[in-house]
Amino acid sequence: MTVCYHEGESLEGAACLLYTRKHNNISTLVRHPLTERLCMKTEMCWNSSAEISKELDPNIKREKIGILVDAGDKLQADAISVWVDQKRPIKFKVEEGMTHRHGGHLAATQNTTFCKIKKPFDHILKAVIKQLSGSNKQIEA
Amino acid sequence: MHYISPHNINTFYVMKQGNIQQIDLSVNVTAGTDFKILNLKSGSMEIHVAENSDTAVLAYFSTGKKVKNLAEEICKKNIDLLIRAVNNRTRERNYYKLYSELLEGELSEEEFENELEMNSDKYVITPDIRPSMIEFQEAVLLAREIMDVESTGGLETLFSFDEDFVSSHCKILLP
Repeated sequence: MTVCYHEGESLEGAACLLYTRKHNNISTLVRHPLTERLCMKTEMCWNSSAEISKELDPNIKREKIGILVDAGDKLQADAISVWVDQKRPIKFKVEEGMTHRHGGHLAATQNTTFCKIKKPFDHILKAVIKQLSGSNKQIEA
Repeated sequence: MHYISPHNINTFYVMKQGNIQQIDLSVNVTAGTDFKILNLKSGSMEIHVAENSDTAVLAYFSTGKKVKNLAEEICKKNIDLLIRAVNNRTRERNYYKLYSELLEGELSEEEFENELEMNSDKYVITPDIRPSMIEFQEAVLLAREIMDVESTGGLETLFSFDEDFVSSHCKILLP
């Protein structure tokens, strides 16, 4: 089980569990940027996570190399873009008390789902910037 | 030619030999009655701007063929962006109209999917446009006036922008 937090990291599964505090109220029918297939796209934009609940058939060709594909693999970030291989809108269900204090929006996709971190959590972003600036100083020294 | 610019006058960009450059303008302020008149000069280019407290700016590009072309280009780009936005909103409307027909039982699942596949241009947004920095900034300014554009995701869907390009432009504008 791998958890990823950084921008651009992605996962792909046959079914996924999605959680967010806020999402785009409307799903849009778009062409997937990699596969060119018709799929529904939405954006989870606050304290979001996406977890693979069912792996893709290993014989199916992957959309992208170097992404999470195993069951239980997870993305956690502030904003995550989601593409689901279906033509009906993605439905989120509101569940109260998800994080003890707050409710959350939940969705369980049943079709091939591709998720990508759009904006990491602020503290992760700050840590990355700090690490990068530290390594630059080392190089300069 | 006259051109009503939504920009702050300090952020002028000029197309020079195919590259976009931000120009450093020396500002000469002349007192006006209601409007403050600013004469801006940079090399061979001269711009006259009338501005009041509401930051409404009327710029008059007086010299330089390229500057005139740039102003025309920005006007044309704004119109193109707005047309694209209306078309994409129409595509969303068409999709949800078709979906409501499916929910009401007027269409079968198969007919619904066939219609989407056969006439995809009527229903599907293709976010593959890679905007330049100027086009992206214009889109952001326009999006402020358009309903329900609250995130970069909304901006991408509305103007068919490629997600990676939007995020790279955002990093430059908001480092």
